[in-house]
Amino acid sequence: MEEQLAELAAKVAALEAKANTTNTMFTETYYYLTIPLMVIIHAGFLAYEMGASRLKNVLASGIKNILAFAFMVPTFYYFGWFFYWALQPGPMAISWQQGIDFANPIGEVMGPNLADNVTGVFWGAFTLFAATTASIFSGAVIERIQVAGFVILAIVLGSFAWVVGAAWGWSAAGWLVTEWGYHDFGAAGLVHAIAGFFALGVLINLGPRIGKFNPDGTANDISGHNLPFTVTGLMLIIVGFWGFLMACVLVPGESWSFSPDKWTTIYGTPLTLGTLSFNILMGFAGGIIGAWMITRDPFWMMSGALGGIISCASGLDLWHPAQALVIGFVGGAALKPCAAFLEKFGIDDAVGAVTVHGTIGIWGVMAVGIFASGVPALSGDAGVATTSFMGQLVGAVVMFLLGFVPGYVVSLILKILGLLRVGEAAEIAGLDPTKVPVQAYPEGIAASASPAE
Amino acid sequence: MGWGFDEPTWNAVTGAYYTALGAEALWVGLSIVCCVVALIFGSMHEKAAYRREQDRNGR
Repeated sequence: MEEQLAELAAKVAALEAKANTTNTMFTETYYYLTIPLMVIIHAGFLAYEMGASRLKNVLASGIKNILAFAFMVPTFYYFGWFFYWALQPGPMAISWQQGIDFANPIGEVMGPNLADNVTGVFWGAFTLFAATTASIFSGAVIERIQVAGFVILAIVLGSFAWVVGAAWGWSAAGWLVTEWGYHDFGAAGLVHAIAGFFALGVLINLGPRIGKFNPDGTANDISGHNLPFTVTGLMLIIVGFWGFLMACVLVPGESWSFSPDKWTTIYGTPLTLGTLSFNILMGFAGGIIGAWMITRDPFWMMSGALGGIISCASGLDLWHPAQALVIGFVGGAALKPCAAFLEKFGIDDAVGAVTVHGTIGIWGVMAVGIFASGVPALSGDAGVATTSFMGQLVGAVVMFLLGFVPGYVVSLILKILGLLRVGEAAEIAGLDPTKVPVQAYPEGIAASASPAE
Repeated sequence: MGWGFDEPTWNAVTGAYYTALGAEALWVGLSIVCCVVALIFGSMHEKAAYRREQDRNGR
């Protein structure tokens, strides 16, 4: 009998070990796959920006966009990931030891390690968050920004500014969460609003493209060379968003997981992937329909798709699907009027990034305060902070400042140093013929047949 | 600077393993230099291109 019991215990132990290995491998694979999915966001941004550029600037816009991604990877390795861990106790505190424990680039933690299946894939997913944040800003400044100045700004945004927002509001230990109950599951505030208002700060110093505004202040439409390319790019961004939002979820059953058997948010609160499926799709649809109702324009319809998801992003784990559609619909319908309002102030946002990500990001954060107050913001027993209008408002203000202030200040410094704007002659001639060694369309593009033909 | 560990087989390797183990700071420093140098050269190329265009058009 004792022998049989011992044999059974050994079998149970072996099965348990096998289950643990399977869970760990699943976890590693899960986050690993979010990375290529988020790379699709960058394929989308690349197509989007190049399509939105005039023929004379197509490749220069592409180069700028590719470099934002390239420089984000090493800088997030050197210090972005470190700041995410070190700044969580903020706003006026820093935990150097936590940064060193989790993200020291000159220690063994940030390299191949057979005893660590998670740091590399987490870092990879967060690096793609960072690159996405930088790329959001990238589109707003096309056709007149210097590449070197742009790369410096992208690094400040992607490897520092949004990281501060994430440390404060996207961690169960972040002070915005523990003290204010701030809830931003899908990063409407800490990625989109920060990137959008960072872009606004830069645009004020960068100025509009030559020819955008008339002497009386009225705006001219500067169409990109390939709207189908732009619209397809936007759809690719939506595809990649599934990877982005997938990476916002914590897998259960690991030593660092919040739950042994439930998916959780980054705050430790429960959800299912089914919840995300309902609400992402309904927000997406609501955004398109709202934008179509107001504009009838495919560019704004696909921007509406993005705006719809961003509108719902903070509370994607909380909404009823029909509510998600309404929130997305409002975001989609608001896009063009908000963009037109911004233009009245002489701001030339070439792709509507300030509106789609900044304004709608704030709407997404506040939607939780308006429609989802009183929800426990963290896991655990009674007494944890709950979501509230005031908590979301504080978070929205913090996210606005974390974006706008560094964007404005750093771009002002670059302007003083002569590193911000391209020369007037180069802007008029086009950036491709000025500095790119190859042509986008060496055989030219045939003109459309006229209606009479 | 190179391989960085002395194990003759993989059997005893259970933790961190990579070339340059123990010399991470040097390689991190070199990689930073690569990024900074590329950015400086990129900026110089860009400035020269704008100057050329300005000279050609006189503005």
